[in-house]
Amino acid sequence: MIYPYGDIVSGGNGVDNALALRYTDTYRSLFILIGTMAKMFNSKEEIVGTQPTTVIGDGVRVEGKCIGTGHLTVRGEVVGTLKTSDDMIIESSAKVEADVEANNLTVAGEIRGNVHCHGQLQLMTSGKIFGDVTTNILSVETGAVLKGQCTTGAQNNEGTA
Amino acid sequence: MFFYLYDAVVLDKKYATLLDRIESRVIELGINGRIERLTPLRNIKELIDRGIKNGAHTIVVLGTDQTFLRALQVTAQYDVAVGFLPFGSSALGPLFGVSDPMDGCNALSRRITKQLALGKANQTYFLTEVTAELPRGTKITCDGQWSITTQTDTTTLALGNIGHILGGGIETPTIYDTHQLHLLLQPHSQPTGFLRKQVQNHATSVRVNKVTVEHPDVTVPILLDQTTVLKTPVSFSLKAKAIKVIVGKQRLL
Repeated sequence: MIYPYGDIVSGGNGVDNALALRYTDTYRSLFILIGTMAKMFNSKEEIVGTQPTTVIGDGVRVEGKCIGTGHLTVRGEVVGTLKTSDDMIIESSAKVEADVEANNLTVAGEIRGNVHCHGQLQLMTSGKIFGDVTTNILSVETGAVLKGQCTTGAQNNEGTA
Repeated sequence: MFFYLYDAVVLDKKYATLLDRIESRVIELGINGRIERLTPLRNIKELIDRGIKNGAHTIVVLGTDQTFLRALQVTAQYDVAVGFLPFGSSALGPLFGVSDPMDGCNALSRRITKQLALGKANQTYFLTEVTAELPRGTKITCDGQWSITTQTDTTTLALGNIGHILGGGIETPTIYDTHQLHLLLQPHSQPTGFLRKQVQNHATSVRVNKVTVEHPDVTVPILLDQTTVLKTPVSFSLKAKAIKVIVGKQRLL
């Protein structure tokens, strides 16, 4: 952890030093708090990094049955079927015309097709789904678009919207 | 029987002392064998074929990375071990833990072998990776189930078996040990919008077992191991445990 205000302590008289030290302690606590929060928010990324990841980047178009086992991130165009036993992220630049199946799914792009999610489906602000959705847990942000039949709590066969 | 294949570069005067030391060390270790020298008039395939027919069980290449990779094309068809004593700058030497040819002699004596998969492009083998510059509309079929079509003017293809070892430019080589081909497609940035701003595209990265690269209109050259050029359409697959390479203690694999 780097404390950018640590240099304030050096030089000056005793009063200034004590004041600066108190400010430095405050800043230090603040930076420790920010650092801890950053670690909390980055924890998901660290977990993702240990898994084999498939990325469909932008500038390409994928057609057919794309079935994988590791994490899958989509930034480009996909037509056909998209399936993984692990987590999937549909980025904002992605356009998916396919039936999608994943463990946990985060959607920031556009999906035209049926979505089956075994865990949690997160529909971000820029996310659009045109198709039927089956998921265990559903999380929808403000501004997201969802057109289709939605079934949540899929494992318990409960809750149809 | 050991079979030593000397590249033409080994016969250079500047390597005379080193070659003498290697030959002495090989005799000391009791691993001496038949020696053949490559010349422009002598075919590498012919020499190795003849050596194996005469009972060679270990083929040792003394020379450059390119000569070793050419030798692999032949030895992949046989059940023999392959050793490498690099002369001059080598990327494969550190990979196999034989950066210094004298260390390589000790490795030959210890005979620790590592079985490696070879990539197969049509009927040609490759060890490290395949690279190409793909034009718009190139179709890459993966595992016979799905396909990727490039949509930018130029896309760099890198299809790795072991990884990005040759070609330099990277201090720490990328080494794969997953028994799958690593397909990386990096679309080149292209100017978009009124201000012709360069937009950097994200790469596509997938692991596959079989890949076919083809273009409906043009023939695309594909470079194997920085040495061999093939023209599309090309089918790639992986041959597991295709070669046994003698490795040193400091190997990166």
